[in-house]
Amino acid sequence: MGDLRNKTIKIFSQIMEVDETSVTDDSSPDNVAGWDSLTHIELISALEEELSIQISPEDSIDLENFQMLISFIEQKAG
Amino acid sequence: MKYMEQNYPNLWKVMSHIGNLSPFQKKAIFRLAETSDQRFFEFAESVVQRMLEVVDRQDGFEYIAKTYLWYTKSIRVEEMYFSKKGEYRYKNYDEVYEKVYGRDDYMIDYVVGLGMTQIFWKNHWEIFKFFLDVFIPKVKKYKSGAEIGVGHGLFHSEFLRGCPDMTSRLLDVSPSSLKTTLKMIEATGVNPKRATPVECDIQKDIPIDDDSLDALLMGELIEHIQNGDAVMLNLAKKLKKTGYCYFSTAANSPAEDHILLFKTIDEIRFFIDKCGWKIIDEHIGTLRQMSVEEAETGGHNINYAAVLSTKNEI
Repeated sequence: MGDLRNKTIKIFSQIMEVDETSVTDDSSPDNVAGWDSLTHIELISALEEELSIQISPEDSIDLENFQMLISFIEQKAG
Repeated sequence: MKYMEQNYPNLWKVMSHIGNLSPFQKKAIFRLAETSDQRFFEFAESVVQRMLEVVDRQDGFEYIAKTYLWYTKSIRVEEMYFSKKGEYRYKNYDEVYEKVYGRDDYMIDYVVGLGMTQIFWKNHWEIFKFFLDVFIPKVKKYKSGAEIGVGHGLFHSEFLRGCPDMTSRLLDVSPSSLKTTLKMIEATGVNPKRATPVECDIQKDIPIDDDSLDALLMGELIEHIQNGDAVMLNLAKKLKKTGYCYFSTAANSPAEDHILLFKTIDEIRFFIDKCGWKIIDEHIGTLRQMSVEEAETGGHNINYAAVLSTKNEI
């Protein structure tokens, strides 16, 4: 799971243009300047491609902070 | 923000509710507020006041905020779908009618949510300004008008307010939409008797005489229709040679009731031309100040609005 988390942080940091070390479970659109509805779509597409998972449109829009995102991905991968 | 709370209290209350409920929308609407001018705030405050009157509920502020978020969420689901599939979810009008227009309760939420995007989405506010600043001055002395697909009624209300001698017909397939528009006209301080509601499906019949209209509004209509060409061709016959039409649509703009997909601005211009219309003036808007080319290549939303005349214009 640690590897999955690291990969997710790497993808997240690239899309949102933030340093990997700044990404925490509390990261959200409130405190990550580049996280808006457009980058959210880019993030979900990149996660699907890089991690070989499927996230439905309905599920994807409820993932509104990093904690929710990583929990969902770990559940999918598990 | 203190200034805003004091001077635009209704807008502030709705924004605060939205901010408490959605981090995405909090960021988007407060960012818009930070970069907006007095004209925006005055208009936005007036839209909230009118919407409160239209919905007429004890929990008006909360309802408007939640309904806006519900509408925005439905658009974001469709955006995700579109980004995966490259096409809109529905291609058939009957499916959309069953899901959206044919459901009275759903339509009320739908038009309230959509109405709030006119102030909370920068691209929709820009289009509204084009309507007010470019279209209305061209028709302000005219007398006979109509709107096809009236939605929340904000455009029609401003149309009647800006054109004091105008009487008009409201054509829509949804009775809820017609009722909401009449309430919106009244909330704007305009006599609603100047507008006659007509419940009809314009894909089957357009109950307006040929060559009878000075002004025609068809904002965000054509993408909802399966056979848009036939409707646009038919509508061109209704406008007088001296008349003007306000037209808007969007490329790469998924919504649960959008059927007709344009991918580029040139596709829209070609569509207008082949249906017997001439572009007099136009507005093109993208998100995040993207170039049109970048938006077309990336499949991102592009808003398009135009003032049209028929090709037989004198």
